[in-house]
Amino acid sequence: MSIESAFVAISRLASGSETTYNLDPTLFPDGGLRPGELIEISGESNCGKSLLCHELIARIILPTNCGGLELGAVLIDCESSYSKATLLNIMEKHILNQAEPTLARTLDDPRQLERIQQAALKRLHLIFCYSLEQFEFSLLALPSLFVKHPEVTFVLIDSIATFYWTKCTAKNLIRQDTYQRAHCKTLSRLACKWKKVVLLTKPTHFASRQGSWRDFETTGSIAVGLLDAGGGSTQSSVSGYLPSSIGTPAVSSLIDHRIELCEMDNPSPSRPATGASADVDDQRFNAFVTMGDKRQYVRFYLIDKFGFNWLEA
Amino acid sequence: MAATRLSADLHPLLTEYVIKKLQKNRLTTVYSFVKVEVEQLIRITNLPAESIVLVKNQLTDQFAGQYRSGQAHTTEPTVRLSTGIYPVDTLLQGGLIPGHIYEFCGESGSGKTLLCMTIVANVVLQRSTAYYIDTKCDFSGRKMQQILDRGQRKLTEQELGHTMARIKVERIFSPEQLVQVVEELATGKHLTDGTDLKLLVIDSLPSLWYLYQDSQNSVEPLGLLTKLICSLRKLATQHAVAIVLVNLAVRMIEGMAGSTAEAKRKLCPNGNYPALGRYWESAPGTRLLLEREDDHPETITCSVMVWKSNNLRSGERTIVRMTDAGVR
Repeated sequence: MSIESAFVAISRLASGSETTYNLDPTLFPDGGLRPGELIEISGESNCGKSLLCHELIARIILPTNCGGLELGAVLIDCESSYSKATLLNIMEKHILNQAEPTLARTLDDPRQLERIQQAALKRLHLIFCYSLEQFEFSLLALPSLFVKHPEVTFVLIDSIATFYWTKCTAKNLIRQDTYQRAHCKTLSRLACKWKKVVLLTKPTHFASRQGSWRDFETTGSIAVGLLDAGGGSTQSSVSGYLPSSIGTPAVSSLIDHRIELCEMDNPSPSRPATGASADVDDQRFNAFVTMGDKRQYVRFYLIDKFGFNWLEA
Repeated sequence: MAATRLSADLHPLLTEYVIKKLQKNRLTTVYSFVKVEVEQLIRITNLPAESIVLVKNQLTDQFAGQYRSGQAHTTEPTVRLSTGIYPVDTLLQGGLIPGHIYEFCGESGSGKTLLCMTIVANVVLQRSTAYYIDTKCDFSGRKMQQILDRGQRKLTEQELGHTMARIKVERIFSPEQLVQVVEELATGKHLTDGTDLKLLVIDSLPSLWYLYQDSQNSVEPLGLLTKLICSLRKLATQHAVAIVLVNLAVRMIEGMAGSTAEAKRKLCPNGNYPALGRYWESAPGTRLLLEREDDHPETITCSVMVWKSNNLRSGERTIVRMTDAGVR
């Protein structure tokens, strides 16, 4: 546990939010997330943001005797990325790896595994949004869902950037960071009032200092962007280790913790031969975590059929 | 997508009279109505509090995203749609997944259209319907007939006629029209006439969005791309349709002014990246890269590689041949 000043300790106790949720010991090794917090998961395309949501959902809904929190979760899926098959695989992995000894003995029976999975899935609530309007109304519908299902503690949104270009029209221009900030404010209010933890995903470049000038291109030439044209920061990226998605200060203040997923450049040899999948190197990724107290650390992972495969440091 | 306006047919308690009063107070959309405090609405409409709360709750339920309990949600169908091409089926671990969005990306002439036509041929031979949206007038009935004729089994003239009738071809020349057609399909109106739609092919996207090449800002094309992908996702998941999109792979132009390390986009091994910009990169669930190989002078071969995918390993490759009877 980190040492905190007396002032911080007293204000923490006074606020009454002693509950912390130990969501994932790999990502948050020093314990918990507090109700009311917002966590942002950002990353390039195909780095595993949606997959990480599945991993975290599994940890939330699985029973405590399988290493889970046995709590409820809501997933607002704007990108049709929810896959029940993937979630079942991930849950199987967690159950088999982390079952307590008394439970582990019963796992020879495949129906036992299924029973645990089905019971866990009862704690998952899915909302599929195919338009900005559906998304906005879904946020309004959350309070009544919280009342109906009080065990729901986590809200995951994949992703917060999906409907931006619906909102930003020629008649109603709005910057990406303004758009994100508006949603984060609503979510923060919701999270604090109802004592929930909110996780949201977004592409790295969204609402970042890079600007949106490469969002639409027909050829390799530069398309004249509308918002934040050019102006990329000169921060050098050392094979993807350093985070590049730091938003403008306005959004940053609303986000409590940040996870940035990044693919690592593989020094791959000559092009792999036809059909010889053994030649394809496993793609390595890193997760750069920035906690609210400014602590930062890196974790490495591979992606396989069972989800995230965290590599020992 | 404009926010839905308030109208009398939304709810029995929202009469024309009530709506006029709301409009006088500048509440014209359903969303603005639902966001406003109950007390204020009582003042404006003179309706009792219980009625207002009831209307608000019912409208919220109606307009919010579709709710499913994790347990009740059914798993994706395990029966895949075979492409009819053995190497491609192997690469895709069985075939196309109904409900998934695929993109075939490649340079001009790399065989994307032929691959799409071969897959369509196979789908209709299995007695399902396929929709082919043609933006470049590349679809040739004669070519399709040739592919069907050289297939596994010889078809009678009548069978051939029925099979070709299961291919619905539509020529579309503007992005707005495309979005409209997809939105209509997503509402499921094709189900009313008993069409067993299993596959939708859009060939190709850049030819429509190139209309925006010289425009000063990207807001409109991106807005349309958002609408398109959202409607495609709705069509795919709600009606278990596999979707195949065709896109171009463009070359990076060297020495772009102001391109910093972060602004660079992820390149595929041969130095290309998908057209339509960074926003579209993450739109399809699986992106396959087609590359023409010049190794064999007698037969035309192409390599098909997984560029990115939610459920396939990136980098997996296979080789196919381009023949008169389609792709083998």
